[in-house]
Amino acid sequence: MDAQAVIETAIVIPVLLALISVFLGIMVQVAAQQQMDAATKLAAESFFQAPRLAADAPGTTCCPQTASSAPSLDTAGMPKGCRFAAETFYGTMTFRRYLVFPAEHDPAAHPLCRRDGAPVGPARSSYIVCDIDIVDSALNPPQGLRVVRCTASATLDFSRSPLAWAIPWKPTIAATAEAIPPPFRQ
Amino acid sequence: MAARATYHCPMGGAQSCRCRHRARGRAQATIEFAFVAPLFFLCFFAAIDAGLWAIQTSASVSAADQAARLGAAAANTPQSEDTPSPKVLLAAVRTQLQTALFGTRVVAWCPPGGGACPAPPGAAGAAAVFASCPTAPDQVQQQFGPRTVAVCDDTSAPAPACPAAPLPSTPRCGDPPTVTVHVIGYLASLVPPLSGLGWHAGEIPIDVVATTHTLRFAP
Repeated sequence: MDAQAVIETAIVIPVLLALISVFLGIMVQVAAQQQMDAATKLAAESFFQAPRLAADAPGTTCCPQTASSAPSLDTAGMPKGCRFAAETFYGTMTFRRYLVFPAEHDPAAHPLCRRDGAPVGPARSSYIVCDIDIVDSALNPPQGLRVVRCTASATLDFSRSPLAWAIPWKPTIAATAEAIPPPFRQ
Repeated sequence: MAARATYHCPMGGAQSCRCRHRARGRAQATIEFAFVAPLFFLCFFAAIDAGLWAIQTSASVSAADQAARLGAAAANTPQSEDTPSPKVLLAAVRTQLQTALFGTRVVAWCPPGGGACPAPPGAAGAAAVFASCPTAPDQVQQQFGPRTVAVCDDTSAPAPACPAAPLPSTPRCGDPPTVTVHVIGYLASLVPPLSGLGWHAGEIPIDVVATTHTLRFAP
């Protein structure tokens, strides 16, 4: 009887603790996903808050990867809207403690802005990638409307947290947002 | 060995043995219950709390997002170039926040006793705290008490104008200011404190930020 009670307890307690850890893990994932959705959407919209033909001057940089690090993106010669989008994303996506962005492993594949699939300007290793001047033919048919589509993704790495023992997998979160130019844009 | 001898009841009758057996079983069940019940209830309330928290976070992210858009759009109108005060932003998102944030007070980051809001940058005394947004949920708790969430906005200084041609433009010249909205504080919660996560008894911290550039139109 004693041994049975000990075994029962030894089984039930870790299961309950694992359950709590998974709850907390889901809370973290929900928070990260919600913030990424909001940040990507705001970033796509803020592309159009820059004057239409304005480009960044030489020496313009932005967007430190951490609060204490140096700016990580060189936006010289790029459309100002690209930097505005990046600044909005980095400023809004503050929940980054357990996130690993793919740009950290493969900077070349993650330019800040692309046009027709080709990188625009020198900014690489960006947490957000915006495709500019995409023709969305669903809008304003038949000629379509030139829109901006921003995408972001990251992996939640729980091995950096106390929840690692219960959540060995690494869920991926992703967000895509499209913005159309306002009709009164300069 | 003594315990084992008692268990086998060498001296007592069969009735006394059954009695001791039953008492021992009850004690064991009580101890098991004492171990498992708190964990069970923790799981139970954590499950409810996780659901509530997801709703509350979603509402806060959405409110910050909406307030940032409002701040960006309202910062450049024929009437004013100033970003709306936290009171104005809160009025715009109060309904959605208050509906979702059960048991939590929602306030604007303004001096509780009244006065200028936001406080001017050089403000002295207690008002100085309100000259910029709180950087940690604890600051909101210190000013407004427990289970309070504050809405606050900061506007960056405008960038210098670009030099006239033929001089080359300088980095960031002519950029409009950025508006940053914070929804920050402690949400009411059912779970007891968990060490290491910055939780207080009956509270979960929240710090949601939304940043965007103000809209500028040609004069």
